[in-house]
Amino acid sequence: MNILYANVVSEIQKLCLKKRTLFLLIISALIPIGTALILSVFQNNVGIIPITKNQFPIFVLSIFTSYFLPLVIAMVTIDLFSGEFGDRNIKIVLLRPISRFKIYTSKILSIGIFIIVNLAIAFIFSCLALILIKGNYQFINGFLKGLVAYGVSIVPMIAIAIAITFIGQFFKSTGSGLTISILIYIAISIISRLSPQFSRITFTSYTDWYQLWIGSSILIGKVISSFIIILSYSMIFFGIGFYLFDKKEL
Amino acid sequence: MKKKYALTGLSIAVGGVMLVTSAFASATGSTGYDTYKSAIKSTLTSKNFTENGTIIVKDNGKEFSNINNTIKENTAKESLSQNTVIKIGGQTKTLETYWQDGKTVSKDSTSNIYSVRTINKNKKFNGNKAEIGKIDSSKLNDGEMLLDALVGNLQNYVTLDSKEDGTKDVAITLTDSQIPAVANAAASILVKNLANNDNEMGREKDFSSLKKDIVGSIPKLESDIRIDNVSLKAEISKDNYITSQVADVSISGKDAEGIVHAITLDLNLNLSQFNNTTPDKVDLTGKQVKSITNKEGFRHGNKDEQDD
Repeated sequence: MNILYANVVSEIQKLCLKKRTLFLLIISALIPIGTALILSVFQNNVGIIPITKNQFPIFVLSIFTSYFLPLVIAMVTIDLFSGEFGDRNIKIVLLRPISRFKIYTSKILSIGIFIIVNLAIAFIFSCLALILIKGNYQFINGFLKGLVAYGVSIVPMIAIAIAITFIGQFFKSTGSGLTISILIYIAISIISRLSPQFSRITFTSYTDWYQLWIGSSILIGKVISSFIIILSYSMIFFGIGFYLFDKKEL
Repeated sequence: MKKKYALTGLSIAVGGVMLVTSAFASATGSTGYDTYKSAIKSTLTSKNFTENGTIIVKDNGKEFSNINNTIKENTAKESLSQNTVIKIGGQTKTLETYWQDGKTVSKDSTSNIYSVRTINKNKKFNGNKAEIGKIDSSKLNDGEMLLDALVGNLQNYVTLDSKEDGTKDVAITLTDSQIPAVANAAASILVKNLANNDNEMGREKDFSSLKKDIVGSIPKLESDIRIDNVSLKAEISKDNYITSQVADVSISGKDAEGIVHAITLDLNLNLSQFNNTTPDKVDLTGKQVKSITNKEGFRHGNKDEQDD
């Protein structure tokens, strides 16, 4: 267990040392502020409130979970897998006395931590950006619901990360791995839009499952069935992904 | 080494079984959204039914307008009768409309004269359910694709309750951030414009004045307009017809003086007598009758649309 912990720390260090990671986190902080500025213009000039103060953090979250975070997750994940095979840095990790299973798990865990940090930054900055928006902010309807929504969003985002680690096993360069990941994500999104039957069984349609948690009542049945679908995809991709990673030769 | 692959294999197998089970469950068990959609389709294509609807608009809890509308419709025989009671701020007005023998006959409670107009075959009733009754199923399928795309993941929130006697209840309630921001913005802009351009509404005399009355009764919202809550509830009969449809919409906003208004719109629709409705007829013998052509009808009803 200590080895796993040590490798998670070293993977996170690797992430932190990359300028790209810092850049992505800064953008995560800027998105809520930019959105709040646009919204305040709407409020003052058009006279409509498409989003109230209470809903603002959740609206920001919808931008994150449907567009921004999947992209960021793809970049970081492909970098940690394909990237390291590409520039042969993976050798340094593989030479350590640590099993490939632990390497694989620790990489996914560190991506998970990155996702949590990213969502935390998004939540904190969207709360700060509330100063720009008129209206009341309530504790239960605003803060608490926001916190729950951001919290439960960790689950589908980690599932996306696991699916991308699977795709990443097929590529030895960051560029092609990333491009294919994005194309697959776009293709699945379009098909889900056109076919509700398909969308119900793809986990990418559950990126907004936080909506199930924040309504007037929590739809328990839907929450459980969504969770099972997300979990089963994660287990399959984790299993096959690890198998490919284990068999991979330099 | 073997233990490692056993674990991975197990993870894939369990995941696969779980996925197949839930995919199978979602493919066989129809969802609330699909049930609702199929009931709407069969109701819309039904050519013969009695509809009783009430729309109540309240402003800060005070009833502003109450409209009760009964339609008996038989599209196959091209006949229809409609009786509307409008109560706005203490005033009551009734409006009768008939569609019989290729003519429309209308009369409101302010006069004893029946207006008779020969129906232009290309331009049937406007703003009337009779048109919807004419929609064929191929057009509905095109609309369905569009609806699916627009509704997107919202369809997950439709709940379905199948009763033992074969009837079903479907319901959806969207509050706050569950309403997509774009839809909320579009609806808010619509509400704002509705209040400002009330004299441009409608085309036919009866319906334009009706809409004008409704719209005129709603306080004019100027700022901070938003949709707070949308809820729909429907009861579906064994024959897959919608027998009851309740819709509640809450809109809030401020008027020009900065007073906050919470406007609620409650729609209560009951449909009955499917395939068993005979529209009422009005006997015009001995009554005061005024024949009008379509062109005059427009001009009479709406002065702004002369150059239309």
